[in-house]
Amino acid sequence: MRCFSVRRRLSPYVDGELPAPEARKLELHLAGCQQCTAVYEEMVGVRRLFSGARRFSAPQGFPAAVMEKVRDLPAKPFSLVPLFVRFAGAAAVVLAIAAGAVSGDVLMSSLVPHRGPEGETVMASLSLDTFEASPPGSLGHGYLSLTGDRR
Amino acid sequence: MDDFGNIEDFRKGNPSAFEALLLKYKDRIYTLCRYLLENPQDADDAAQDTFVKAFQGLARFTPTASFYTWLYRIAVNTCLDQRRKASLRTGLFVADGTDFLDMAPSQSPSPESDFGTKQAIHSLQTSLNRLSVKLRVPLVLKEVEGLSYEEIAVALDVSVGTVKSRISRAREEMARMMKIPRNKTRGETLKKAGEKP
Repeated sequence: MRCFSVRRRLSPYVDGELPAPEARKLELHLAGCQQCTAVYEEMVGVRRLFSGARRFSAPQGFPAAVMEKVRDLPAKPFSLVPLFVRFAGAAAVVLAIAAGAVSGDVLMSSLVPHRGPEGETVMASLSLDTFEASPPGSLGHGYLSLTGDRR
Repeated sequence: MDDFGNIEDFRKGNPSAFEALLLKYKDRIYTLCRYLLENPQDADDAAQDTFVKAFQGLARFTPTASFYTWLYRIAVNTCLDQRRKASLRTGLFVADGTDFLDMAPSQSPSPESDFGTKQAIHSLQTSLNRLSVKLRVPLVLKEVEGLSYEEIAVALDVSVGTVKSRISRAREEMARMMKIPRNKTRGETLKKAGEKP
């Protein structure tokens, strides 16, 4: 085992979280490497200091204060309502787009009830081709007629 | 009764089952909050909020992890929220760590070594306060609360590998800040640590 691998495993080793075969390899390395042993000493030193760290007790009246807060608080059962509320805006936009698409389709169907000349006239009136660059009777139309570009 | 028994009782409508869980874990949660928030009042508020949130969420708790791991997760998130609020309030967090000295009667053999121990603990707390939250939380959960790497991973919702590397980096930084001497022999350190790794 190389120093780099050993350094990565020193902390889990100190915590006893290293599998036994790896721990044995690490110990073999430590026996012959002063630098890694020094880092190991640091880790153990930090750990030892924590053994004197204080464990606190909750203040007097802590349980009573919590129970007071929860007394009138019903435990919330799982509900889809908060999810719905969170995404209500997005749902409204989607519904509006869908409603627009459906009503547009219905409108088109009512304007063009069947195929035929009448329907085609209506379709032509809705077409963007109505706005021709050179409508009939204009100078542009006359010029294009002369040059043979009949659109 | 174990935790899951209490949770079942609570779900059946027995509020005293929640009180049993509260009494069992109040000191551990409060200690965690003290180490993450330093200020006793903030820690008290965060610990209370933790239990209130636990009460509200207990009906949804699924026993895939232990109850206290779940509780630690709530506590850590609550403390992080509290820290954000506190930093917005004060601009910069400052703590000298004095509150963390163990005021219990010392086991040290002499006043000199007692002083040395308190100095060391003070130094530990000061260094701990200077660690980033990302490194500090897993280290506290490991060293103060005694959780395993797996439990910490569940509590923080990260992988075990992340926990491992964060604790390792936290210890390296702590050692650097505290300038822990490297001149002892390995045997001596182990003997003083009083444990086998």
